[in-house]
Amino acid sequence: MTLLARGLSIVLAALLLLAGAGSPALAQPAQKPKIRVWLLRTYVPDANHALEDSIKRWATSKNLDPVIEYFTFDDIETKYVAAIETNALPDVGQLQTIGPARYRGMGRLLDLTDLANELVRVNGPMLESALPVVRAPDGRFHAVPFNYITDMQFIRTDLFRKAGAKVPTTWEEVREAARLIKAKGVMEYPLGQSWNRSADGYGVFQALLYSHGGGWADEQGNYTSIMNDTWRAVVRWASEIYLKDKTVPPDAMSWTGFGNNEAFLTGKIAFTFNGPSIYYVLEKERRPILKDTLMAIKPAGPAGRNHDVLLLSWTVFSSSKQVDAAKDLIRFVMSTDEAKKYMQQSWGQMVPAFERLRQDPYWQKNESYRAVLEAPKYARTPGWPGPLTAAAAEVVATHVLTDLCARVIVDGWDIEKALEEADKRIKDIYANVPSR
Amino acid sequence: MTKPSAWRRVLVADALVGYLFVLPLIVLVLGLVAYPLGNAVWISLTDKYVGYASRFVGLANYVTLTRDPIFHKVVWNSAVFTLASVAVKVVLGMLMALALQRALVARSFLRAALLVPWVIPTVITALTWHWMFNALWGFINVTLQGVGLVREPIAWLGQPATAMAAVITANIWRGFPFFGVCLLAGMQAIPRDLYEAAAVDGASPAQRFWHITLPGLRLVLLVTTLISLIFTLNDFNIVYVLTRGGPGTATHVLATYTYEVGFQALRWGKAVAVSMYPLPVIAVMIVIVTRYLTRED
Repeated sequence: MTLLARGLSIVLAALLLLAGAGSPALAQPAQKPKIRVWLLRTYVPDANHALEDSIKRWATSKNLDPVIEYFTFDDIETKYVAAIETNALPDVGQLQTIGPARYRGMGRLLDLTDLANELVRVNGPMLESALPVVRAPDGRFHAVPFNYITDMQFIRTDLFRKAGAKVPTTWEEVREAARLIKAKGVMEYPLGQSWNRSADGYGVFQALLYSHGGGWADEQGNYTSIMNDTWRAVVRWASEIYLKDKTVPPDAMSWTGFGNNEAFLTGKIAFTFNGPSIYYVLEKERRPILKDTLMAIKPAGPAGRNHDVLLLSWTVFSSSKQVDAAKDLIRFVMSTDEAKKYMQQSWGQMVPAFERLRQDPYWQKNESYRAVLEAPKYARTPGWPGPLTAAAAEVVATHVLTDLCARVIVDGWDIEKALEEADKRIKDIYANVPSR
Repeated sequence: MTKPSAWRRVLVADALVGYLFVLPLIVLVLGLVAYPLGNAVWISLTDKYVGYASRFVGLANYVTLTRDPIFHKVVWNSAVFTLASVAVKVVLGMLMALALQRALVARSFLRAALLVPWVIPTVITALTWHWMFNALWGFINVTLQGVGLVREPIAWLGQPATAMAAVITANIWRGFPFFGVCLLAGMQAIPRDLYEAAAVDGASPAQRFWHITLPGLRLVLLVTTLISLIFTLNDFNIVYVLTRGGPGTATHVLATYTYEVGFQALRWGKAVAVSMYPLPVIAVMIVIVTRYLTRED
């Protein structure tokens, strides 16, 4: 046994040595330098392909090997968080609305102010609503806007007509329309609004809140108490559509991100708030209800029309070894021709943030497209009326807003108690976000 | 004089070879178990925020969690989810094993069929149940309404109690074959002559089960229950896909809360502390089972 064991160990050691020594000896073909790019896989494959194609054409012309990886709406933060902690960030990446505010404070994003100015010269000024996302309070740009994916009001016009309801222009009219459709027996649960743990929940809540003039931060971005009548009115609106009007499908609170898409596409609800992906499916698949579907701007409130925003932006990470190439890639995909190619493959989903691109006749296709183009003008960032800060981003990311609604609707708490809990959570977040 | 020295050389060489063979295991244990665990404990004692250097804060994260009402809810949910799931899985697994042992026809087919829930990816399981529980067009409500048992659709995933029942159901469905297979293997190891002797003595099937099968399965039952408790306590996929912890926080469990605090709030110190809380309970369970097994040996 001893001899056998000794023999085995010698063989094992020899194999290990061979494996270690052998690898450098293998001749490797000369490789092009790589550039790693992280993109959002949107719901529109045509747009994804168009962007990927654009990047590959650019890379070929620069003799680079592009390594393109995707994330989805659900795992965008997860992927970046893991990459930050393992020093595996890409060279170039797309960020969602809260990304620039969160990551620039960590020193992970390069200063792209020159590039931003350059893009403005090429494509015209940025929409005002894009600035709080990509521009830091000190005026520097650590990201440049790519496109808005706007949240819209989806209306089944045939069902509205049948009930004699009009397209809502205010949040009160939303409730009235839903009650009317239910009362007329057109549909039992016409309003597909979930206060869930997805953008369909916290995004719409922000729109409702900001339209009522509410917020959780002041203009300087400091925490401000939410124990006031504006918040009470907003939470009352949010909960009464479930508890009093009973116009929302009974399990809507448990919907995930595609719950309302499914419900609308299968004709189970008469209206909902969602990104334009519903319209994309209707158009692409030529569904019969397309002719009876209207995309409209979200309703206004007593304080005006103030929406939430999903703005995709480009950034270059400070760990990149390909800074010039990374900037050049962004310059290329944001050039007028390439940006228009992408836009026109997006089925009305991707709304430019630069004025000259917004003037393209593509957006005049119909009333719905015009509404999608219009919506970003009213976009407000988390933490409004203050700047978008890491703390404001955390309030949204940790579902404080929708948990507040759930406490009232699901757990049966009174509004005051639910507000107190949410207020404490927000206060804690603002007190503990690092400013190192 | 030369002989002892030669022996010593052989012994030393043997010892070295022994260490050489054990070395990979030691490296694995240190690298894959001890280091990550130690690192996790360390992170939980810091205010680690993603992207920033960590600072030692002692037990602050653990103390903060004791005052966190959502964490209280999460602990309660985890206990309900784990204990209810495992209890039902034990019973169903036992029934499955008994049925398979006695099956006279298509035994192999039945064994394979009953293993299906266990082998298909958890995400598929969760998505399937998600569709079945849908209030408006899910299989369960459509059937119940179709046969006239209910008039209004039941919001299975939209109410706290039914949502918890739903995630437990999905977990049970996925996990009971594990018990079934293990218990079946245990049953087949029980000597047949014990049953024959009992039958000759006039023992009823229930008596045979109670006095022969159950004691014979004691060890298997203990180990499978312990493993299932750990897996169920750490289950993320089913809850995340079915409810995301909702409605509200009604089905939020330790795994989903850890994810939320770590990857959405970026507070890794606190997130790791959340996942560390059940560790003492699990450790105690493991110690008890190990001691029991050692004693049995």
